Amino acid sequence: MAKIFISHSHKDRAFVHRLARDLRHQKVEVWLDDSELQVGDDFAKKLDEAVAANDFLGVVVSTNSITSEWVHRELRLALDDEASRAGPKCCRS
Amino acid sequence: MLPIVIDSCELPSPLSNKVYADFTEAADYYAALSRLLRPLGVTRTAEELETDLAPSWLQRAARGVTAPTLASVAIAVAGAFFSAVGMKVFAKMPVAITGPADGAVFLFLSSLGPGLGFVVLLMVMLFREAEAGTTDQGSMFTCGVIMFGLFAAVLGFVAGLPFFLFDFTLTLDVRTQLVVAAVFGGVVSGVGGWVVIKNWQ
Repeated sequence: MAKIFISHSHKDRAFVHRLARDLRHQKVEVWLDDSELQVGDDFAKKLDEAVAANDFLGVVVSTNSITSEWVHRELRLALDDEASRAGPKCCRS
Repeated sequence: MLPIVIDSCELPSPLSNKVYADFTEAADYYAALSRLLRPLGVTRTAEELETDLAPSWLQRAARGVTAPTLASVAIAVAGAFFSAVGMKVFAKMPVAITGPADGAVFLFLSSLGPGLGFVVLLMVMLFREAEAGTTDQGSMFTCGVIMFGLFAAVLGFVAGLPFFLFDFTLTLDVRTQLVVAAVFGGVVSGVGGWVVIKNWQ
């Protein structure tokens, strides 16, 4: 079962919740920061874990999210994660 | 990384070279969802998704129901019920409405139901405001009563007007009187309730 973390601005919550519901209906495991975080959790640490633990990062791009600092942070984390999973490229001569 | 675009804006630079799922048009939602599902290992056509996921008319209607609408419907039902009960008390025989005064009295009696509907509404709102502790309840109640008084006066005038302008007699049997009162009470309570709730929200 594919796992996706959806990075979004809270202003787009209505759309994201509909999308998450539809993806779950298709047996996709969805991680949303507002539904998975508990009171007292370390937000930054949890997001790092979520980005690392999911197979895909879905980035909801909207006029709300492109100005969101958290969405940019999640994007950077995902890019770092993508680079580390790819590993160093080596060539044999 | 899967970009999901939901309105017209520029993609951030790390995503600019990626193909994205375009959710900007509501009509293309299922086509975009189908494209988004493909890299996740799920192959479904837009038509299949729409059949599976599109809400029924009942679900759409349920989602469209907001708290004020629901409250107004409840008030309309209360108004219809109280109007019919009120009319049952007074309507013992067929009534012949022959002039503006008769018309006004008949509609005034019918407006007892909406009046009680408004009292129910006021009570609900007083409880709500009391919990929030934001409103002077005395002045709010006075305002509600004055509003209903004006409302009943206007209705009485409007009801009497046709009999004043045109010389005719309207005879209503008991059953018709009840139906008229229930319909009138329901509509007036519901519309009035909705206006009041919207303005006081």
